[in-house]
Amino acid sequence: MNSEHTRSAKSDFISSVIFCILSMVIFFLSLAMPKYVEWGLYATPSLAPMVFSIVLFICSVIMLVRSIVLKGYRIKISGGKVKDFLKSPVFRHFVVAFVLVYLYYAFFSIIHFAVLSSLYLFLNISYYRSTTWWRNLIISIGFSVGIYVLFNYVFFIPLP
Amino acid sequence: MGFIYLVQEFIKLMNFSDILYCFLAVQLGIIFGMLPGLTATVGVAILTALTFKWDPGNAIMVLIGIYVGAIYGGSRTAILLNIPGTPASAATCLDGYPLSKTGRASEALGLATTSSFIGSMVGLVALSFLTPLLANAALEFKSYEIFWLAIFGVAICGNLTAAKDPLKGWVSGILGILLSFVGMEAIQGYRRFTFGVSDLMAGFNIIPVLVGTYALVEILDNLSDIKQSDAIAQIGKVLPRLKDIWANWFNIVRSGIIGVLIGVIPGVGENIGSYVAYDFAKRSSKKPELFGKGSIEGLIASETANNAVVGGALVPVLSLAIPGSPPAAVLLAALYLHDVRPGPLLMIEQPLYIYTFSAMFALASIAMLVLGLSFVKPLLKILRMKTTIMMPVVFVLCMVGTYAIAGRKFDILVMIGFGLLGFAMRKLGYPEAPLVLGIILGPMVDENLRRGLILSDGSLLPFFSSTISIILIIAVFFTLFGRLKPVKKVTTFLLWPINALYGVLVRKKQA
Repeated sequence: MNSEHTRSAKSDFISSVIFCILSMVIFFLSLAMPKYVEWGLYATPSLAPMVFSIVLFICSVIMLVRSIVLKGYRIKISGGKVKDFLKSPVFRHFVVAFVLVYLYYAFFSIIHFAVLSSLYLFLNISYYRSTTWWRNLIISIGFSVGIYVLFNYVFFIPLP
Repeated sequence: MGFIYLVQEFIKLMNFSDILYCFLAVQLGIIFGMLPGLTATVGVAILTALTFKWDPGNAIMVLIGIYVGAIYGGSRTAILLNIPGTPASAATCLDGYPLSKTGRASEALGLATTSSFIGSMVGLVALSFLTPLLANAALEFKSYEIFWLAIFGVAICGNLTAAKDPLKGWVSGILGILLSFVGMEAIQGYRRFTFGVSDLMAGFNIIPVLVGTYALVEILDNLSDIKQSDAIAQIGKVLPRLKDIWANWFNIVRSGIIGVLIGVIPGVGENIGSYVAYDFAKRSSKKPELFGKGSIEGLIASETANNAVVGGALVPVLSLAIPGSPPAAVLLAALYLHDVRPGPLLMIEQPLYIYTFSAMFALASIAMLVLGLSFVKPLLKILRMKTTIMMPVVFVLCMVGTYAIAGRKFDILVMIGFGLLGFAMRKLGYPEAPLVLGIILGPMVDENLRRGLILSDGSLLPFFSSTISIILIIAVFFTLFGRLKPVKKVTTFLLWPINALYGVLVRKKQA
């Protein structure tokens, strides 16, 4: 329970600093917005962003103070811990999953949908070694072509 | 009179195509609900894209069917695998799985199905009869009241979805409100925070936001941290268990009412409803020691409540255009896509629509009961599909669903962006629901604040002078500060007659 509280205080420290900075950025960007004086200053488009950025700043400061009281600022980043984290299966799986997601987006509407989706599914399923390569091929191609036909010719929603 | 309209609209649905669509949608919803990582929100979001070119009646029927089916469907994996198929079934695991382990899986499934149906019926009563009342009351709301209502919605959502640390819930909600300011604002047409990107002029489309925040987060989470699931218990025939239901009638009524009340609260959702009902059932049970070990009361409470929440969550959707739960938020967006204008004016522009909607909900509930009792074993084979195959398949569906709304690649980028943001927030302990509710209610907050100030020539007094505003301000105050000791002391002091009376009643019951 103690280690959970400590981890939580550290993550709260980092997130509260980020939110403090974000709220200040939003506040100053809002200040730069036009005032539309003819409508009355209270009708300016910057009113709501400024009000809520101030509220966010206050909440972030409360969280920051709370995390400091719980010694959340004691963040020791050692090379060993970073190495262990980068080598961990969870991080590796996340990176692979996200990179494949991003590549899918990047090539979407550049490569034909059925081809791109088949490739995406095949690579994903292969990486996790979820099934044999030929079953993988059948699932990937079958699903992608099926979705393409369904959306294009049954629901009339054009896919690239 | 409302009952007659409801029956009339229900009779209109008694044709082959409507019944077929409904049953297929509920079955698909049950599948979505059963599969961990797929939630009702994901199902409704994907089908919104799929059906947006359909006839509005059929499209909304399908979406309601998916919603009802998915909330019920989560109970199957909760009972058989101790994994909630949707967050709504998390409380069902507590007693459903122990029942399954002792060879009573069929009994548990039968109870869950019947309780879910009764919960849906309670939700239907609320949807049909509470919605017109709330919509008529909402016609009294002006800009000042709507502003406070939106603030209350975000505050209570943050409070209930991050019960251990409400501050994180409120930060999440405020972040959502700030994100909603991106794009061209409604009063002067100024483009805020677009940084010259023309795609941002219309702000963030709610469907990619919802798909990213709920679906993509689950996909990334499930693909990063792969869990092995237990073997599925063998089941026999699934029967309605009417004797047990009758013996627990008070528990069912109480859980249904709790579910409806929780559902009406903006953005909170089915998981809170089921836990609160479970907690009430445990406190008032004669055998609380059985809870967590296979208590029928616990199972009935959680399943009745989570389906009652569905009806309750749709009440503010139709009457106030405020979603009562994440799937209801997608349904709200879908209603707009199909040119239905939910909100107080619905009672004036389309007064019978509430009953049409309720009739669809009733048909979906009946379909859930029929399919829940009959089509169980074949569907269990779907549970054998590996997560590492299912998640990429779901991602492709999400991509298609997001792209199909407006044909913009930018929406996919929004989905991925919000998916990353949601993932980071989850790991840091921030709830996602207030973020999404903030994005939905942000424009309401901004427009009504400025419109109210324009109408009052800059005076803040009208924001604090009407009865409804004062009630909402008090509600916001207690939501934000109710846990502080000085406030608790003052509240206890002011409410001591009611507390004393409650104490006398409890002692009488125990005696």
